[in-house]
Amino acid sequence: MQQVNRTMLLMLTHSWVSLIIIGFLFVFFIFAQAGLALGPAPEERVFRAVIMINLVMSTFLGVYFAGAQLSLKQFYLWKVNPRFRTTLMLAFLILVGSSTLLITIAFAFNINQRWLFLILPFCASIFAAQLVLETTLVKRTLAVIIPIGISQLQWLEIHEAFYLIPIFMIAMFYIRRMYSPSYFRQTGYMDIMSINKAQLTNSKPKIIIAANHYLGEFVSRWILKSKAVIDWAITMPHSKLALITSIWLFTLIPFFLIVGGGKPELLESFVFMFTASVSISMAMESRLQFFQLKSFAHIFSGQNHRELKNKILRSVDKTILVNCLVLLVGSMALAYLLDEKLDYYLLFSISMMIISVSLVFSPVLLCLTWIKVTFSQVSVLVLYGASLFAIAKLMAHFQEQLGHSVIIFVVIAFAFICRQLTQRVFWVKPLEQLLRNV
Amino acid sequence: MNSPIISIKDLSKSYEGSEVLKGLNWEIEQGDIVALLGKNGAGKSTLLETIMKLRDADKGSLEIWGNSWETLNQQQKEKIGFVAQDIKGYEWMSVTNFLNYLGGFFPSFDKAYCEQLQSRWGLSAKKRVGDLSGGQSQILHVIQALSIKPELLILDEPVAHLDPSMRRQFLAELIELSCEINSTVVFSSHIVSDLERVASKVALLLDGNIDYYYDLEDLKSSVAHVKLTSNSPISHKDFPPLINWQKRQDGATAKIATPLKESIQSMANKVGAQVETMPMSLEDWYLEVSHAAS
Repeated sequence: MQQVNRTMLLMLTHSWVSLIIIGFLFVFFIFAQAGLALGPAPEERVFRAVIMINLVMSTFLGVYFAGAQLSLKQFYLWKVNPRFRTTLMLAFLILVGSSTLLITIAFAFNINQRWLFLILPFCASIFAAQLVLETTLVKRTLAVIIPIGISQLQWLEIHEAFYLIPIFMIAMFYIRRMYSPSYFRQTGYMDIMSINKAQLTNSKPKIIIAANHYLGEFVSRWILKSKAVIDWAITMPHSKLALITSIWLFTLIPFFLIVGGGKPELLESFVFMFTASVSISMAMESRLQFFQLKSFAHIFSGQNHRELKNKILRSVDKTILVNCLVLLVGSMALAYLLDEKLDYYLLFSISMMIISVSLVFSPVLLCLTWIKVTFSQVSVLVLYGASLFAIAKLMAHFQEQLGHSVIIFVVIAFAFICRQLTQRVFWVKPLEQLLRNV
Repeated sequence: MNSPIISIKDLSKSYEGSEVLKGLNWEIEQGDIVALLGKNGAGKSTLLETIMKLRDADKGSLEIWGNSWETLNQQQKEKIGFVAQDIKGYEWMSVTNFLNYLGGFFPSFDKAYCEQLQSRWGLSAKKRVGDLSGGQSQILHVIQALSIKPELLILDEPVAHLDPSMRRQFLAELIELSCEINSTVVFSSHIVSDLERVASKVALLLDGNIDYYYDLEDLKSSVAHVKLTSNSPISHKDFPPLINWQKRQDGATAKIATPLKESIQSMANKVGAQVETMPMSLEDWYLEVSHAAS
């Protein structure tokens, strides 16, 4: 039991940054739930919104603890020692179980005695964990899609047991599967760098290898010519960075399908929240890939590797822009389809300002390390949050469209000036420090 | 002769149609310090990881202390220490946390001995695992494996990331410590000079098989460059154990790559040839047998 306790402590504290963010989200969601319960919204709608909030929270927890388990599983004992496996699994299940229990305690007051729904947060954590732990991208996607698909049975107006019990049974199947010694995904440089057959597909290896080879040859003439290889090394169009927005959109769609129309402010706040966090997640992920530049950093010119650093900034900016725009356009399309009475101009203008602020902060965020919490990290994040808060306050202060247009212009112009400064911070940061993750 | 601690019969392993281990047979005896040599990609890691059951063999059998992995009991498994070549994970832990945490899974973990090893090899207790250099990571994992006082210690390229001065010293100390705790050690390497002072036996993995497996001292005293001179023609068939046979006008040159049952002199006497031998280093031996195999 002592080993289980130790493992739990290690899993809980393996990433202080994520833990703090989850802590904030936890408090935020609890208040959001309470606010919904006390508000004037119809009971059924509150019920669905509360479920969705709890599922999002459980998803974060599942991914967080699975990340720790994945790291601990890298030791060879996972494959040969049942005691090691049992300890890791017990620690994971106790953590997920107790944290989702905390969620369900708050949740229990809002579910109108539909007790079966209490198992949902736990199941959601288990499914989310598979996003980290599953061995191939196809299996990771299936682990999320299958339960969502089954949950759609609710629209048939059947008793909830008909879809909740199968969902619970699938979660049990995954727990059993997680215990298997062969359920093992290696982490490492190759895992980050290459789109290998095991990650992508279960197709015949030879076909994939041949296809990769020919596609790679075809694409390389432009990549190598333009030194766009940075895009591949830092922002990796084929990796999870490009998937982040899709996953968010993917969570938005079922959310609004369940909650239903008539809640434009919810859609707006989701878009703002996600847009604001895109730059942080992009910077965090990209920063961790910097070591991949080691082999070709020397081919770029300029003092202090200026050319290379500019290429990095452009790559990250491009990724942030693409992701934010996909999110914005996707959300607008969703609002249009759901016939939401959304102020498209307001949504667009606020998003543009958030993107501008993100681009101001992205060079500084890229200078930070994301393995442990540091004072500079917290300071930058607080400053970033305060800037976004200031924009929200400004927009609320000037209600008419003309006022908004002026604010947008001022904010974007000011952001442009600030960006010149933050860019310099990135330029002067020694490459040596950027190539290390600590 | 000691009883075999590891016994491998007819072991095969393929990756995507390429056969890495081809019906390999090998026995390692109690108390041996075995250096496993082989080129890059020869299958050393595959073999060691298959012994550790981290990879499944396609066919063949493998026994440790007379048991397959399936019948090996938990206590026996906990007496095996292993250091993998690719060391990953645990980046956020401190060195002490890492060692104590993993030590908790081995009943024979000796914390005091572990601390002693840390100070011996200058590993800072408070340093984060993710901050260690490649060489320091290897030392950390070796400390972890030694601290459980294993009866069988398997090390996959344990000194590959260390500089030459540190490498030889560290390997010698590691083997000395293993002997103190009566471990049987199998370690892989492709740096021949590393093993000369530390191994008791040498195994060479060539083309998916252990083609050469000898006592290091026997091997060192046997291997040689050979120059044969004769007035009458001589053939390789008269000297079957020799390798890299090269015909010359007045005879031939060749290499002795294994301890011989019949002396080279007596073979030469049969065909009326004269023999001149020159000592050969293990490094040269390795190159010659690799060349002969290819």
